[in-house]
Amino acid sequence: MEGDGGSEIKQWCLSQVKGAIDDDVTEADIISAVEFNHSGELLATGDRGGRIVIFQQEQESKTLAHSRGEYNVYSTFQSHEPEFDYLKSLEIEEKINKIRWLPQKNAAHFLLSTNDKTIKLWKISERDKRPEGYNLKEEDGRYKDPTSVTTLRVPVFQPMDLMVEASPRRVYANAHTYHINSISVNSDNETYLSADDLRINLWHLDFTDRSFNIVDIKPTNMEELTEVITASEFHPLQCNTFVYGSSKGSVRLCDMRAAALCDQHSKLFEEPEDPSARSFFSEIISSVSDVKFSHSGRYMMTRDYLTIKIWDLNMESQPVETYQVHEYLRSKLCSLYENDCIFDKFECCWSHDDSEVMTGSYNNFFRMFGRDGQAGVTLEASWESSSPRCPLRPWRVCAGSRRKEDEIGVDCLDFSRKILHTSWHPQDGIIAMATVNNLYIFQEKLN
Amino acid sequence: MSCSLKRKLQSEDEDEKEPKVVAILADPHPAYSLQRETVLQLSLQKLCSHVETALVRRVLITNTLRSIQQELSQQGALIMTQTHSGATEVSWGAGVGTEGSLTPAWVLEQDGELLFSLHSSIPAHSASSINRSSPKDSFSTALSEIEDLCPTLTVAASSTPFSTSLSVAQPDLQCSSNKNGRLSFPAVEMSEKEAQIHTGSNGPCDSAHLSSSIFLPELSLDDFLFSDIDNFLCDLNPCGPNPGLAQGSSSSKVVSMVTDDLLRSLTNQPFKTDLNELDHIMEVLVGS
Repeated sequence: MEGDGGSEIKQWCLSQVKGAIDDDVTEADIISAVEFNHSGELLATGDRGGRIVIFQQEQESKTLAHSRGEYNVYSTFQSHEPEFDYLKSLEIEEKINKIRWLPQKNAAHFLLSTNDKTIKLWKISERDKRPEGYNLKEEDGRYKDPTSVTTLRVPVFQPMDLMVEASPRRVYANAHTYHINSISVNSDNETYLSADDLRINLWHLDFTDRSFNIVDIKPTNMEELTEVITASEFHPLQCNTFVYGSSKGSVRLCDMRAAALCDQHSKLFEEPEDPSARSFFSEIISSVSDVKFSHSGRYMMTRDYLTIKIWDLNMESQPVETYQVHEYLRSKLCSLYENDCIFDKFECCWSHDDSEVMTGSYNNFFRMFGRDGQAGVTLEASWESSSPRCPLRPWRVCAGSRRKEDEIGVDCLDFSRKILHTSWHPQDGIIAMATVNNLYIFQEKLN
Repeated sequence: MSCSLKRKLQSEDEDEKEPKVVAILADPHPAYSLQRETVLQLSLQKLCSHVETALVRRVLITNTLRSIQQELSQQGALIMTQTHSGATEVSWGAGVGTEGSLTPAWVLEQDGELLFSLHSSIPAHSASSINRSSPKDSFSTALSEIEDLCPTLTVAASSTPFSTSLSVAQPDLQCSSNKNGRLSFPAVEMSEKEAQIHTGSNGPCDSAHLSSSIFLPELSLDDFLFSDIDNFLCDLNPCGPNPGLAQGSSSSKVVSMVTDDLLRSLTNQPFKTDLNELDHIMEVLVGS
């Protein structure tokens, strides 16, 4: 394994693969969102067909020591349907762009899911009992003739097979002219933000007929548009603070106490461009594809095309750490521009204790970086070359087209197989990520 | 005349593996120019494709195009800017202070001839690019003109050159589709008589209402975002065998501006645009 001998080197094992194993991938099955809930018990995935599948972790297995429970399908439902905007003659895709869980308040689970235009609040609840013994209804639901009732009884709850129901509790629609790229639940658990290319709106979870616009970067003259919003998130602890990343590689931190419309940022995080690395694609590869606060709220991570940057919120001038995700692609940017891969938006995530960060790459590789100075490691999400409970072997990418064990040439990489969506268990060493249509779950090997 | 020129270029470059030949004799960074041209062409293709593209992509591609165009213009090309009042002012790039003319009148009178531009400062490394060979499609034609370091005009094809007007470089002018056979770039427009004004001895054209600018920065983003892209750029046809004749609804020609004085001074010959002449000029410049 790579890394110094200093800190404990973590090893990862393939735990599960969900989804069809064959190569026959329908467009609708392509996973477009992956998200653990706040306890890690539930794992939600969204796909391009507008469906959400929720997996639930089993209780910790008693037979296998040091093994965490497996994730099994808990609920499947159709979240969004395709719509047609008649005014613009455009189809609105049902693809799920983001899923965000609400912290659990009662027995039911709530999540927000969004496509390009509409956000929905879903309630996922269990039903394992049902009332029996109605006076006016038969068991199959038919109504009795009231005159035939001679005695009264109190209905009682009887156990039944567990049924998981998902019901849409709110539909937040018609607030976004452009495509929604982010949603983020506030720490006050009452409000959330939704961001599209040019605007960010603040919602109250209870009200669907109004939202407040808090950021608007649309120029009066659209010809002057040179920058769009690409990602946005609320601070995990300060309910007045949020950030948004832009296509020019900058991140703005805004304080909602300062003004109703937060067009003036409170902080601007921007790293000066390295003139020696300038190319035609400098701006495109600097575009922020994801921004995530650390759990502590002290740091913020941004993902652009080639790097991960960790920012200290107290220092705007430059990141405190920069990790090269796949620097070997820098010489291939022209080809990646041609095949549009340069526009791929990779997500990134923090470990539960903020000591590691993880992000996806091409060829079904994903990268993990320890923040304590360990070198990054490249692992592969592949059900063919991994066996459960066997630690993943790291890969190296070299120049040219060599391919041998544990090493692969840049020219052999498969750019159609990419890991864009990743999520880290909030409390444990479990990571989930989506390849094109499979969900991979890896567990940290406990020694 | 130009058709034979075109064919000649075509045949010359047929053997080239790379259809887009950067025939810059003195360019020390041909790879860079080649990549720039590739990126330029890719960007235009992406923007003009009929597939609906996300706003963020369109913005990024447009910004890339703009930066390339700025780079090209900063390499010393003649830049003309249109002020709000409509008067034209001339600015020279790359610190070249030569008082040059704009397109000489006789040039404009050429019947559909393709002209080649020379960099006004002609430092060793910034030679002009000879018109690209064998444009396989309209994009190549457009791009080859863009690649010329001097600004280009687009001229609607018609039986007499410049008898029809082009569309003006108004910054907020929307791209308009030409129903009557003219190609219009929003950036470039000149009225018929204005085109006749330029001579070598005139100074920077106060009187020349010729305005041409490298059209990309003048493009309204709305052209790509909101307008009907079909009629924009995609209607370019390669210069046909008779570029001087009206070729239907969407043929176009491109005229490059040359610096008359400069050429005269270099070649000491009556200025004549001819590929052979240009080769000779280039040889003189390069000193080969």
